[in-house]
Amino acid sequence: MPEPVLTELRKFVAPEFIFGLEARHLVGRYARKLGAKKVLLVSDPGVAAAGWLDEAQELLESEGLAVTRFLDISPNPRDHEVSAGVERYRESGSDLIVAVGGGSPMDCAKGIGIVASNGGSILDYEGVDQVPVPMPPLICIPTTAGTSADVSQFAIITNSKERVKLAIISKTVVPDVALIDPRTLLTMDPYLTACTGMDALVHAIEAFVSNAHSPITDLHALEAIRLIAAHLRESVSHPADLDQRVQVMQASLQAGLAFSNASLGCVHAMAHSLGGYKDLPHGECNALLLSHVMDFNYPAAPERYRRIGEAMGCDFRGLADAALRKHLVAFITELREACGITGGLAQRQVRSDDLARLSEKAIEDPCNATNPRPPTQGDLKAIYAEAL
Amino acid sequence: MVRDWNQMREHIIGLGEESSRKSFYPELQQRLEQLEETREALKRSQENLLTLFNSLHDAIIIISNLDGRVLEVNDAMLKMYRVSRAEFADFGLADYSTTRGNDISVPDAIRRDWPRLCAGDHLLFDWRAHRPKDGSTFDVEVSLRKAEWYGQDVMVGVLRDITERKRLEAMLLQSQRLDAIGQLAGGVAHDTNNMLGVILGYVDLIAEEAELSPSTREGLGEIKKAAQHSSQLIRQLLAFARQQSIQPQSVDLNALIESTQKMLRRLLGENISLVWKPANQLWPVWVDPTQIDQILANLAVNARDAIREHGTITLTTANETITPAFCQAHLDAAPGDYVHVSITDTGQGMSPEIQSRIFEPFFTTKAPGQGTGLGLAMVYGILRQNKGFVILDSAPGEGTTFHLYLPRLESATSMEQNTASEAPAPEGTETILLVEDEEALLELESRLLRKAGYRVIPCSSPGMAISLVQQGTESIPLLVSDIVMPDMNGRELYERLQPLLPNLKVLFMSGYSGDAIGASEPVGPGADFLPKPFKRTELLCKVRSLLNA
Repeated sequence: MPEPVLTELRKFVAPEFIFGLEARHLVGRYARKLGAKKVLLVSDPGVAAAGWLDEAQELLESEGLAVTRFLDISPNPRDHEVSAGVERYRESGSDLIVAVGGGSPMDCAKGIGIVASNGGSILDYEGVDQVPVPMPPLICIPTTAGTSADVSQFAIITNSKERVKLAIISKTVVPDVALIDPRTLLTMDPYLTACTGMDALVHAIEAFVSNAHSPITDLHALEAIRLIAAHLRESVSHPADLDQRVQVMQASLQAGLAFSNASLGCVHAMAHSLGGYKDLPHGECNALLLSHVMDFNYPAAPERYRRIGEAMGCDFRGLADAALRKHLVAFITELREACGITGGLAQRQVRSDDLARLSEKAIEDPCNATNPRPPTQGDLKAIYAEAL
Repeated sequence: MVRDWNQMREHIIGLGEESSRKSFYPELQQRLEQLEETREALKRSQENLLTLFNSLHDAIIIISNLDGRVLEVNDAMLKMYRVSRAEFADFGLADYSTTRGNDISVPDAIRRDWPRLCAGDHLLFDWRAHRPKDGSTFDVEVSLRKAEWYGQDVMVGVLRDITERKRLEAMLLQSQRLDAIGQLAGGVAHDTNNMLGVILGYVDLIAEEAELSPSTREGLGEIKKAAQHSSQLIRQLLAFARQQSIQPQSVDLNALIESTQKMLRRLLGENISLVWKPANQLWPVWVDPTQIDQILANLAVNARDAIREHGTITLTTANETITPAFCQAHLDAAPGDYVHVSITDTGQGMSPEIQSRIFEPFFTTKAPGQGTGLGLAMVYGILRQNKGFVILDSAPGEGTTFHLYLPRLESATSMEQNTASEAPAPEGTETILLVEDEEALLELESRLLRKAGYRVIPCSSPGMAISLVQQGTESIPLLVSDIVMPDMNGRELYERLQPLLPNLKVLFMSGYSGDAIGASEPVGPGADFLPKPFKRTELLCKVRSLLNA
């Protein structure tokens, strides 16, 4: 893979974000300053149970804003859930959206915003740069450290009929403000911590090896990789350790800034197909596929992978490419299993006769475009087989 | 399948993308709200204007100046032209107009007037309009201006239906024409009447001489017959001119018409039946019964002639109260209580053109020698003289009805008629001051009075009478004076003489009716009025009774 030419025109898109403890407390003020009178508060029952939702609603109402809740969201949000949210948005006369939660509520909130401004169905906006009209103001408060939907140009929605995830990539879906508060991570259980953390790692690695990487994205990607490797294990084993949470949240933010601008690769293409078909957690899919895609990609970007390993603290001294590749794949696998994500796809009800369909859908995903090694459908099918 | 991952990559990097970042900012939100408010206000204002537009009674038409297409109309236009809102645009300006009754076609009118409208002129003119669906036409007054309509040059026409105004104008014109003719006819008739009085007077005087040859006496008879015939004609003219001298009294028209049945049936002949439908109770009216006879005879003859062969004439009477609304449609009418007499025939009816001239004197549709053309003129004059009016209702092929209205007499007792008794011409020897500006009449009246034994001081002008009285010391008990004279009327003369002759009594004479010259005003116990022309005995009776009083 050729190194990107430094003179190539590059753009870096990021929202205004506030990172730090109690950043979430600013939601009322920001909503008011954005001109809102009625807020649609989008979240899911899990986040509501953790108490973050009541707090957000109080903060918004204390600024004199009317609040309507929309919580009918499943993990991997569906197109019809977006439609229901749009209905709630219009009925209530809302003029701003606040999303509190992980990737599901935030992506669903983006979908609601798109359809509220542009009409039609969310399926009409699949692909890159397909959203003509900007959406209503959106404030995101992430409660997981991995998705990075709060800073990204991506929204992933499941087409419930086709059982496939579709990627919407557009500058218009970048939130207006992200309030990134590591304290919210304290309510995550270890397995969710592991899955989302691995998701952040995949974001960073895929952004770093992306054929659209740039010096600015490289900085954020490498730092995110370093932080995950150093703190994810501790964060999973000591969920109440706020210092570890802050480090992982920082990693997630930087991974998000990197992949939002450098895009992703085959891990995500395949995870979207898999998650859409089997309704598995996104982070878990990513974690299970990462080492196999790295193995496949390695020949296309050996130097980049060496730097990834070094950032994670691997000692590659004296290792030739083949050995280094083996070492790196083993390290990633070990990290995943240490965090509690064990086994393969087979244990997760994926059968070998699913692979044709999975790869058929995965090859359609735009994330493949920036993978360092351009894949074929057969390549993807083979990787799925290895991940069984 | 070969995929162009490079193109996709470019796309994702996002150079050249179409979408933009947020533009949904608070200030934009505020502007949107303002815009929404403005739009709402505009919508309401538009609704208000539409309400006004459709509340107008006049029709409004927005017309494209290029091709005469009708772009917009108000509700009044739909009603006036009898088209629906869905179909008004199916017709062009030419369809809403007619070539008959307008002296220029629509395209020519637009060509002619457009430059003036462009110059800012406002045009106002009458036009004949056309209803495209039923083909009927009507008169409108058009007010035309140039305006801009959705960026296009248009003409805005405001149209007022003036059918009713035109009808009233025509009625007024007819009424004014009849008045003018009446004045002319009255003047001529008055003079002629005086001359006929002279002729008849001398015939009477000469006839009283014993030594006339039979042939002279025969000639005198012919002269008298001719003069009387002319007198008859003149009386009709005077009736039309409302200057017939009359002797009105309280009359029950039911009884009066009942009494004329025999005469009318004789006039109508056997082929025409007369139906008489009197009202149960009829208000009294104040009228000269002979005038009613004249009217009925005239209308009956006309009806008979209109029927030609077999038919029916219906006579009805009724009490009727005329409202102000009725008067708006009939200019001759005045509000109040009336007795309504209608005479309907089943004859051929009349065209509007004939109706518009029917009351003019000497207008006749009959063959030469069949009628004088004075009959209906007289009917008209008599009704007007008695403060009544006549309405004609007729259409070709549908017969004719004359509606006669005479005002109700409010208090019958106050105007009791003092009936003049017929007695042999009384004579006397008193001195009478006679004032008459018509020399021939002065001479005749002097002779009549002298022949009856009176001493007469004839004066041809009021001035002369005053100076004679001032010079003389003689006591004069009676002034006999014409009323209408050039420099001073008879009433003024009497007032001037009264201080000089405190016991002076007066007999006024005139060919004009009492009302026309104010003679109906109370004249006091020592005064009386004698309409011209008069018989010798009438003059002598009045003179005697005044002197005796």
